[in-house]
Amino acid sequence: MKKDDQLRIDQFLSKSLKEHADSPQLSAEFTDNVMEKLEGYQTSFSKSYKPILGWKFRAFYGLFFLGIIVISWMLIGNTALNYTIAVPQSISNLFSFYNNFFTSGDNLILITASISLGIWSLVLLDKLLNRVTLG
Amino acid sequence: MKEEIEDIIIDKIIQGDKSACRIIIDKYKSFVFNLAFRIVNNREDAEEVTQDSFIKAFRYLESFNRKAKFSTWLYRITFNTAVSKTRKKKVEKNSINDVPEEMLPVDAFEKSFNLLKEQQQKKYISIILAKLSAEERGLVTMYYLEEMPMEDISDATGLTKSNVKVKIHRARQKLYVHLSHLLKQEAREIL
Repeated sequence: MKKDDQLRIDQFLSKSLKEHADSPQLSAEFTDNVMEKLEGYQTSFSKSYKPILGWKFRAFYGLFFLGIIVISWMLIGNTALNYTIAVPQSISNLFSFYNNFFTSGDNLILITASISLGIWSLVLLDKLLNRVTLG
Repeated sequence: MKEEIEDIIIDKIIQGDKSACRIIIDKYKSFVFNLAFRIVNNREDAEEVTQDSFIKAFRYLESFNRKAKFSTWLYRITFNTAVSKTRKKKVEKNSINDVPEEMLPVDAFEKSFNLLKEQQQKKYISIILAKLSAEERGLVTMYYLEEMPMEDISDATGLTKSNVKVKIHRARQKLYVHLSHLLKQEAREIL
């Protein structure tokens, strides 16, 4: 087919289809029907994950946590060296390492670790609930 | 409706304001229904596809990235929903080889068609559209009826631009061949 013919056929088809193709109308109550169906949905349509903790809080928390670690290492001094030496060599040592970590009496580290675990558990739970409720 | 206003309405829907959906439905319902009707070729099915398309669009509105136009995104949902509906119904595909290639020259073709009565013209248009596949009818609607640019058609169908061009060329050829065949038949009957 020549390009010229193609152009003419295009113009012909465009005109004929617009003028002669069937164009039925939607039923008058279409919008109401769709709205009725939409009302049936219990949750909002939004499916995005919106965390309980916003990014500002998480940034603040990260900096706070980092600050505490830095300060604690600076304050502990020699104790820090002991921890380095206590790096576990085997699986049984691994348990005693964590046992030592939480029962060392070094409250600063214990509190930091607890807060950190607490917040991350909250974030994890939040994600889990979002997934369960929104599918 | 300006795009900024549409964006505000979309935000409202995402936040859970279902009443805002009515504005979007009223704006696009004819647009969506026309495409659905051309593809499924049946009024009842088209209404069902239109309804499903709106519900899908609202449900997944969060995933609309706003780089493309909302209408194009909605067209894509409609196109996919309608095409999959026809697949479910296993509509018979008509090949271009169904009729012998007896194309009329373009001049004679146009003249013969214009000589027909209005009702006959409508009938022939409906027959030749039914000869196309569901996907081709969708492409023809976007290209000839809605006069959408190739880029938007490509976005709405998920096909590459060159693929859209090839498929539209094939559809044009089919429409031309089938209409030529009908017009020749008509001429034979008159003589």
